[in-house]
Amino acid sequence: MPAQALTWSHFAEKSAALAEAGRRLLYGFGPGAPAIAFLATTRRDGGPRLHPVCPALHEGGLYVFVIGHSPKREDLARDGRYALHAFPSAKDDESFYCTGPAFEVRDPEFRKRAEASFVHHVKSDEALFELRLASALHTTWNNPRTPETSPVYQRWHA
Amino acid sequence: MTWDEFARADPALAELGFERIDSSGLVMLATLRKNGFPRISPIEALFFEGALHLGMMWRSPKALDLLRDPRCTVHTLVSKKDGTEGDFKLYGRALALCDLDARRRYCDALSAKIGWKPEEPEFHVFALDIEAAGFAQTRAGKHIRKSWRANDSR
Repeated sequence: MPAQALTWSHFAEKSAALAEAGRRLLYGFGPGAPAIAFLATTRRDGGPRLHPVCPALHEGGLYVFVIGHSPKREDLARDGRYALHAFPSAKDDESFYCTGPAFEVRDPEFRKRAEASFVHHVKSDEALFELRLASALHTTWNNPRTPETSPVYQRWHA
Repeated sequence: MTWDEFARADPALAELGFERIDSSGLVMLATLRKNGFPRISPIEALFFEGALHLGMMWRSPKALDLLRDPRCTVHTLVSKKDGTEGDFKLYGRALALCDLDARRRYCDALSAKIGWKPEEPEFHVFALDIEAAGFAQTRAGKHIRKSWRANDSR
């Protein structure tokens, strides 16, 4: 587990342009809509699991609620390693991806404030995790879907 | 098992998955990095000769993941923020397509579908050996869930 994983706001201090691209792509459905992304976790047998989730940027951190007794909650509680990928846009071939350790947040006052910042209705059995960042990647493409295509990467590592 | 074998085992679920994957030609792929972290990548998916094929750039990190550990998860894209279109996913193992004739036929099939194909030898393509499948949809407040496993006795 990376020892130097950062909160979203500390990541943004280190790499402002990458964080801004991440925010824009996570909230790709526009104002008033929830952020939507794919969350990958590690199953008990070591294989990858993949789910769509609604994360949120709140009080300087990146958070996600997951259903209380869901397999992905068990994955995160057992092995906090995660990967998060903003929904890819079919139009502009641009993507944002980050990885790091996830930590369950049990502070009831913080949870109450976090619930209010999420667009979707949070149920009482959902568990709140903070997603710390150990790496982030923003990808755009030159000449997408042509023989001359080539990726343009903007990377950050803690 | 191949896609066609899965479709014979659970035709209704396979029909849902085929429509969702074939309409966009893109899926999200989760693989395992060398350090054990999961990785997520958008990739091209193509139904070809009875199997679901996953195409990737030559020596891309996700392709190297699969060559090291073939376990993966495939998930359809989500284009509606309310999720009413439903999520389809597959668990399985990615098997590298190495036969040159098969790779040429794959390129021809991809070109026929999207008007573009990769050039030999600068690409990877894998056929998915399907172990499990699932579909989840929320519509008008109702949750619909369907699942299938290769080792189920049903």
